[in-house]
Amino acid sequence: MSEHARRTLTFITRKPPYGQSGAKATLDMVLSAAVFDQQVHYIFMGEGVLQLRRGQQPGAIDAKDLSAAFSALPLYDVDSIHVEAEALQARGMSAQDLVIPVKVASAADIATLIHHSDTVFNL
Amino acid sequence: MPSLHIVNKSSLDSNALTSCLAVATPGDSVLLIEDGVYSVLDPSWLQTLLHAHLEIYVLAEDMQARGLAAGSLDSRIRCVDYAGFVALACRCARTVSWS
Amino acid sequence: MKFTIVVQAAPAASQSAWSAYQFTRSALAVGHEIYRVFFYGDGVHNTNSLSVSPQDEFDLVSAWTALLSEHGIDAISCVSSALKRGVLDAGEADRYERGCANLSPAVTLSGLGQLVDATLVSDRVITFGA
Repeated sequence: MSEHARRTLTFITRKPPYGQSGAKATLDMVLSAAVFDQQVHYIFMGEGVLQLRRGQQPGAIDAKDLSAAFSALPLYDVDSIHVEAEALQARGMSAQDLVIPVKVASAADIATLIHHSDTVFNL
Repeated sequence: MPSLHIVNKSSLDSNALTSCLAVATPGDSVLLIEDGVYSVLDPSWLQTLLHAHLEIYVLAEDMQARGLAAGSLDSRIRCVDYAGFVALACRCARTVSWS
Repeated sequence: MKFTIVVQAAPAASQSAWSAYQFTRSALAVGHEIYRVFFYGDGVHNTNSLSVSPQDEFDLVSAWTALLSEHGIDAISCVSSALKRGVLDAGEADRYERGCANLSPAVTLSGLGQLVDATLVSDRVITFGA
């Protein structure tokens, strides 16, 4: 492991689960970054908020349950999890509809997180 | 230090540019590449741009490939080539890719 | 500057893999260092040396191999992405009894940790083909 100062890595995801790839790719990167003990921000924007929706039964399409994996995030010390307020609102959802506790973030909040990051992935 | 947002989809085809503009910080740069350059054909997007205090660039090679004339661009949009793209990535603190 | 380039798109599926290649070439041309090129997800298709390009089309897979070899660039394809998409080195081809290895000779298979490491060491990280 390199001995550089702790960096802030931000991961934005805007893809819905199951219908297209990308959601799991981002989660895998978040977990890898967390293992390296970096400051990680995980931001769900647009269709990405649907990854956290309660009540998914992906067995119906022979897929693995992505939402179940999110409950492991605290074990990796990933606790900076943000969901775009406008995206929830546009889909008639609230934080109560999500499988894990999150911070509901305005566009300005997300802009600030990005602006203070060393690296941003938006897969 | 500012971010370089790289958008590769047209505003007429995808919400990538809208999402990008929502979370860009004044002083950031936005570079349109690949099909993102087609956004210059979208007059409504240009209006949003005026109020955003962002530096807007289009990639010359992608404009040329698609038959979009750099000369007909609004004066607030700058055309750069790949060398300019590299320079932008160096000048900004981080890149954010939007698709 | 030290760059890490992340390539997520397959060469045939969109222009993004070519954009990544062109950015890499341009950065090298002005004297920057490419610390690592990391092929992730569908990006691993850029490292499949079995692919055959039509004569009248730009052969991006061969171009990547040539560029990466010429400049001695550390190029990695994510092993889990590669296995899923049938891009194997000799070791994996043996392990899974797949009959042939097709990973570009300029690339090695490794894990996401190599991408995180590159992120911590590089001045700039740029992703193509999200």
